[in-house]
Amino acid sequence: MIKTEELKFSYKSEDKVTDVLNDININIIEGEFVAVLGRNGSGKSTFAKLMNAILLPTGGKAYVCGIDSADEDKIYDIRKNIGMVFQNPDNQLVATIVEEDVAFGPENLGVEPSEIRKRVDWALDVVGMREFAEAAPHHLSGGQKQRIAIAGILAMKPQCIVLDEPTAMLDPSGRREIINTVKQLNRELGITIVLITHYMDEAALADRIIVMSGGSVCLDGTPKDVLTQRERIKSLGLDTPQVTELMYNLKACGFDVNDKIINVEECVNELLRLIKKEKND
Amino acid sequence: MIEVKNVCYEYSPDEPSLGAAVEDINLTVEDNHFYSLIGHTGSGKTTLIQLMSGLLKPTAGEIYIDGINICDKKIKTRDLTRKIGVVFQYPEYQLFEDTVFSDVAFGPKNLGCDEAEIKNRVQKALKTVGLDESYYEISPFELSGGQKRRVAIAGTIAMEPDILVLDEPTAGLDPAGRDEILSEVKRLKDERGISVIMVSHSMEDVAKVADRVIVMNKGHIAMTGTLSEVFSKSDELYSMGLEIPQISKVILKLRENNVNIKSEIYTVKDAVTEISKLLKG
Repeated sequence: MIKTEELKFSYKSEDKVTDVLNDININIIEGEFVAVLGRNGSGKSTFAKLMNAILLPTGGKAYVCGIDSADEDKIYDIRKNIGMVFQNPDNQLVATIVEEDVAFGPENLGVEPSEIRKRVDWALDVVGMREFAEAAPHHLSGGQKQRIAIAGILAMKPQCIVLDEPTAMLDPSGRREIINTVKQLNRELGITIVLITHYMDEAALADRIIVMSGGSVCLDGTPKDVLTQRERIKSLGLDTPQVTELMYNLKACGFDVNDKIINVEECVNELLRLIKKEKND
Repeated sequence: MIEVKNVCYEYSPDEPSLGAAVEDINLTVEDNHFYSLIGHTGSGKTTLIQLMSGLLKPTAGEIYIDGINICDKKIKTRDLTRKIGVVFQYPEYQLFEDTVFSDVAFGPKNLGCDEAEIKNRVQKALKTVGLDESYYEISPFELSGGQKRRVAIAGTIAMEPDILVLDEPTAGLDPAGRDEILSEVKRLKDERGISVIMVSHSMEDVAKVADRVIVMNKGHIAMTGTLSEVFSKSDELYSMGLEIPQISKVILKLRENNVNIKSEIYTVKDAVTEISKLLKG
């Protein structure tokens, strides 16, 4: 779906060149749910923008759906297939009525009006916002606005959606809404997901985590492999989920616990096992 | 101390149909506490902050800071800013001077401080947020997102208010940046004995620093109390679109499985202590 070869990106101003990305070699396959972690300024957002040719590589190559992103003639094929959702929902909605906003993308792609109608209804159904089709976006909550932004992308029938900190400005229930929607898009519709986030519990839900640092990829693996490397994760300015932190500390206290734990359910089961064992001893 | 008495804020008193942003607000903010203000988006948190800091005038009710009615027209803004300082969301967009030093100096200068006093305050404020002298002459626009945010927070700290209000100070920051800002604010509160009111959507952050919690729901105050008084009502919080920290969910599940562990556990540190006790028998 997205493949990079020695991908580089640097900003040039009058007197200096700032390297943002160095030699990124990554292959994101169709249907994967990938979370991207890293400190502010590690190059995550730049990487995201290279995925749908908002930015073009200054070195190396990015292939998106098999297309070289530097091929200007095919830029719309890339944009059509890789949708992007950003942090601030208020900056992404363009129309005064929800369904018109969702129709904006397919209209620009030149889709037939009857087909647009179908896609808008479908996209609003998928994100659970059909009943708000005729509402004004500014009356919606943050989570609802962000779901409309996702519906607008869905209506273009993309193969992949890149979300750059979509929950940073949302309250806990808004975060739940978006994460559930993202999981559903991936599991039920098979859409490839790239989720940039600072929330470790969101990253724990992905199939794969890529950690960036100083413009390079420094960790790449399953959530379990990546998030339980506690010392490494901390040294990269990141955090482990609270449950992982708990197990790490219990192990450090000398208890014989499984510390490869990243979610509440696993944590509870492991603790119950330990407590039962303690009682029997 | 802030006393909010029967305060209501209507968007437009001439058009009651537009409704009220906040209603029936009765609240006392005591000295030397770390308050967290939580609630769903649109629950009225930001409006309440604007009212308490005198930026909005209530359409009904009164607000007193240290016994002074701040709605009184005779009150000068300058006197109010010595009492209460506000750091709004994404404050890094409000930086405007050409050096870090002069940006932070803007507030004390406007309070009428002399040169020596300005210098002293700027140095202290920048030290509080962890920026040393090497940053003084740098343009704030060359800094990273997290550093810019700290400069903006220093700008408010330099006014030396008795009450510091922060509206989502860690939104969009990576975990290390988030922890640094939280511990800096906590230390400032402890050293100076001021009160802090922090708006947050992260229950984990709230549990780390706050000792009092104010919960808003649909324009009303739904709960106030100590951290454990509020977090013990997880069902109510959930119904208001909020959460409890991940670690507290683990404790709740253990208790559901008849494990004899106290419920008032909201941080990983406390969880490690209590579970260790349990396992050692």
